[in-house]
This record gives sequence, C-alpha cells and structure tokens, in this order.
Amino acid sequence: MLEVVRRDAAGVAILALSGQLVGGESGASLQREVDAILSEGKRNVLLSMTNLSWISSSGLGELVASVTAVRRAGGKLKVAEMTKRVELIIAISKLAAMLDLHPTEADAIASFHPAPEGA
Amino acid sequence: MGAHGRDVIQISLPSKMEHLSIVNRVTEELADQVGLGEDDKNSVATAVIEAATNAIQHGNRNDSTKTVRVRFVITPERLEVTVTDQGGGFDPRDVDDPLKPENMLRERGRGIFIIRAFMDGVRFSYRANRGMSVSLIKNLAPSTREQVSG
Repeated sequence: MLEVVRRDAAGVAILALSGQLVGGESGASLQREVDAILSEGKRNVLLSMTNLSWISSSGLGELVASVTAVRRAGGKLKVAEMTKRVELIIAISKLAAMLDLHPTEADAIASFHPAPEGA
Repeated sequence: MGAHGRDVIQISLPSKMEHLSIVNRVTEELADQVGLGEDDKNSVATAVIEAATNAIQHGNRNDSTKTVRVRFVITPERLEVTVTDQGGGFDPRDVDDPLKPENMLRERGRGIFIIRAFMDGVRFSYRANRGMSVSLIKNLAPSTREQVSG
C-alpha cells in the first residue's frame, strides 16, 4: 500500500512515496497530501518516487488529479527518481510531458528556482 | 514442467485492493522463472495488476465477498494469465482511447489500453454463470523457451 512522508526543502514541499500507488485507498492518499499542501498556501510540490515500486492506472489517475489541482492553484508539480516500472507506465500513457520528470531530487528542486536570464 | 508441457498455477482472492501485492509477487516470480527480462517482467506485472484491479473495482465492485481468480498457464511458447471476476461483464470496445487529447486529463480509463500495450495478445470473454475473463498472453523468446522446457 502507499506510504507518504513529507518534508520541506528550499521552498518545495517534497512528498516521498513508497509502496504502491493504486488509487482508491482508504489509507494514505496522494491527493489528500497535495490538497493539504495547497491549503497551506504552498505551491511547489515534488513527488519523490525512489521507493515507489509500482503504480496502476488508477494511481496514474490520482497523479493526474494531483497535477491538475496544483496547476489550478497556480503551482507546479514535478516528479523525481522513478523506478523503471513506474517510468514504463508513465511513458506508455504519454504522461511524461505533463508530469515534468527529473532524474534526481536535487535536479527537480533546482528547476523550481531557475537562474535569472543573463546570470 | 507438468503434463503435456504445461504448468498451471492458480490463485483466488477476495476483492480487496490490498491483495494486489500478492498478485504482483506471484506474477513477478513466475516471470523470473520463465526467464523474462526486466522490461518484459515489468510489462507483464503491470498488465496483470491492471486486469486484477478492473476485476476488483469494476467487475466485483469492491465487494469483498466476491472472488477474483488469477490463473497462470506456462508452456514453452508462452505465459498466459487469465483474470476472472464474478461481475456482469463489459464490452472492451466501449472503452475510450486515453491518448486522445480530450481524454488525457481523465483520471480513469487507461487500464485496458495499458493491458493491450504491454501484452502480445489479449482475449476477453464473458459467461453469465462465470463472470468476465481477461486473458493476457506474453510470448516467450526462443532462449526463454529452452529454459522453461529444460
């Protein structure tokens, strides 16, 4: 099942997901965590997936819903450190562009704060 | 390999999402046993989980008194996984294409597409006294076939 651990760094709310994201669960919910972050007024959200072993299409649905919610609130949601299996299902569903994928957390965090042009 | 070059493994579970991890483990273990590479193993496991999820959520409507059966048939040529629920069936042609722009933001509707994308063959059948069955077929490569029959 899904476990979510939150921490904050460099102005980014980081949700470390572990287990499996299958959606429709009564336990930990990605969408609830994202809603909580938005209700605090925070707008930069990073999903770290190092320990997320697999995701189903229902879990993808929850991911899409989270991205939509963050964007509607004027924020950004990025994803980092997917396993190969998660990468596979995201690729086949053509959701890579929507999810703003990054190979590492550090890379993703840096992308929230791009260097000013000409710097 | 059993009689007639065919091994059959079957599991039966109540319709609860938390049991998907059992289905996943069995699928991954059998994928390893038949010598599938990492990508194929991930593909098969993902497709089987999709079929089992559909069976639990849509076929059996999350009714934990209803059963999902997952039957694995291994031959030298292929791995066939059949997932059967106790529901009223559905027409797979009624499922929208999730890659159409108007469907990309939908939260549901990707399961059948994923199954078809990841497997070499998919067969749907419904019987009123048995429920809906979805059979997923992965062909085994020649070198893998030698391992299975050896």
